[in-house]
Amino acid sequence: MRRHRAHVDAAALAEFREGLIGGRRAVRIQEHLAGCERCAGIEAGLTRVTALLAAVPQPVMPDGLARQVTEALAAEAAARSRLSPRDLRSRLSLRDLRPRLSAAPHTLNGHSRLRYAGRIRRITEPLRGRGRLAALGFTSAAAACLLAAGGYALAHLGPSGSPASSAAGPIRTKAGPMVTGPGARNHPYAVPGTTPFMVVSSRTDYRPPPSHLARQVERELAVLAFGTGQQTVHRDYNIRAGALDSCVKRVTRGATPTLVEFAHYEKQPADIIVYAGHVSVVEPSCTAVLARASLPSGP
Amino acid sequence: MESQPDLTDAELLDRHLRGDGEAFGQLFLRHKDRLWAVALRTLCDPEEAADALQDAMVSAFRSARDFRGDSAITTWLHRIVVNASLDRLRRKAAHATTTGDEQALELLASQSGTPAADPASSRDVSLDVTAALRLLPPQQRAALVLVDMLGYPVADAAAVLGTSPGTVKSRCARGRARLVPYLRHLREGAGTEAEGGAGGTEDTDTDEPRNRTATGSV
Repeated sequence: MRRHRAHVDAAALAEFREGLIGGRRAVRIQEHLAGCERCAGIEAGLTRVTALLAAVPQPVMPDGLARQVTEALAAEAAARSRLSPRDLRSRLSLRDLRPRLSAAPHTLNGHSRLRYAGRIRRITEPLRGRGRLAALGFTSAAAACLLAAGGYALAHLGPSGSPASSAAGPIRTKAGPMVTGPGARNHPYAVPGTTPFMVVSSRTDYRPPPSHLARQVERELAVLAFGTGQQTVHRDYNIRAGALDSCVKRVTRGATPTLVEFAHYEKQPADIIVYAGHVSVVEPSCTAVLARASLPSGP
Repeated sequence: MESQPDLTDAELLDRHLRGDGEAFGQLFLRHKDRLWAVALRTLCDPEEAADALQDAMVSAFRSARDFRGDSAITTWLHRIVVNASLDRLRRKAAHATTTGDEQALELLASQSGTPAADPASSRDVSLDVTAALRLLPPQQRAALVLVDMLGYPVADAAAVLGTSPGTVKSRCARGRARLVPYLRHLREGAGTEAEGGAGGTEDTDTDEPRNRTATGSV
C-alpha cells in the first residue's frame, strides 16, 4: 500500500507536534516517525525554527522613538480640555448669532443635521410650529457662522498664509470658532487670546466615500457650532506648538484650518483637518493622508 | 518623564481616565520595549513599526475609556499594537510591491543547503530569520512573533490575538512549517534534500503527491 510509505507533510507534522492531530492519524504519524529518517529531519527542522526565532534578540525601543511617542501622548493629554460642550454652548449666544444670519455667505442643509440622531438630540426633540422653524434656522445660522468665521480668517491671512505673519497674533472668538489674521481684530467675536484654530476630539468614525465624508464633516461643524454634540473642545492648543502644528501646516499649506478634530477614520485614529472648503483625513503621525473631500458648502 | 514604579498598571490607567496627563505616558514607558518588539517583529520594518506603534498608543489613549478590564492591561495594549501592525500589513498587501519579498526569497533560496558563512554571527542569523518572517502570512507571523520570539504562553498570545489557543497553535505550526526550508542553511550540517510540503495554507490529508519531492501525508 502506498499509504504506509508516504512521508509526513511538514505542516501536518508541525500540527501533530502541537497536539492538534489526534486519533488514528496521530498513531500513524508516530509510528512513521519512529522509522523515517527523512521525516525525523523535518521534525528537527521544526525544532530548529523555534530555537532560531527565540534566539533573535529582543529589540530595545530607540530613545528617539520613545520620545516621539511620549510627545504624541503628551500632545493628546494637552489637547484634552476642561471645556465641556455646555461651556461652549453658553458662549455661543443665539442673540449673537441672529445679526449674522443675513451676512452668512453660505448655508448648509439644516434638515439633514436634524436627522443626525444621537448628536443633536435637543434639536430633534419635537418642537411645534415656530419653535421648530426657529431651531432649523438657528442650526443653519450657527453652522454658517462657523464657516463664515473660518472663511473670514482665511480671507485675511494674506498670501503667506502663515500664522507667524499674522500681526494681530492668535485670536479667540467669544462664540467658539477661532479666527486669526490681521483683520481679526475687527471681527465682532474676536477676543485677544490664544489658539488660532479650534481643536476638538470626538468619537466620530468618519468613513468613505468622499461624499459621505463631506456630509459627516458638515454635520460635525453644525453640531459643534450649536454646541450640542459630544465633542470636547480644546482651547489651549497653540498652532505654533508640536507635531500637530507642522502636520496642519503641511496639509493646509499654511492656511489656517477651520477645524482640526481628533477622531477616527474607518475605526482607526485619525486627525480631521477642515480648511478652505476641503477636508483631509490624516494619520495621527501625519505620515499619510487617508482621505480627502470637498465640502459642498465651499470655503 | 520619570517612571512611577509604585503604581500598578490599573492605577495608572485609572489616573489617565481621571485626567492625569502623564499617566498614560508612564504606562507606555513601562511596556515600551515589549510593545516595540511586537510591532517591529510583526512588520519587519522599523519605520512602519514606529508609525504603527505611535498610532496604536494614540488609539489606546483615546479609547482607554472602553477598556472593560476583562484582560490584563498589557494584553489590551499588545492587542492594539498587533492589530495596528496587522492593519498596516494588510494595507501594504493591498498595494503590494513584491520586490522586497522576492529579493528576500531569492536570497534565502540561494543559501538553502549551504551552511551560513559564519554560523556564529548572530546578526546574520537574526537578519535571515527576520527576512524569512516576511514571507509568512500576517496571522502566522503575528502568532510566531508572540509565541516563539517573545515567549508568550499560547493562552496569552490567544488573548492578544483575540482568538482561541487552538487557532494560535495551528498558525504557529503552519508558520514554522513554512519557515523550515528557508532557514535550513542556518542549521549545522544541513542536508541537501528539500523537505516536502512546507508551504501551503491548507494541508489536506491526502495520499496524492503535490510535487516530485513532496509525498502524501500519513
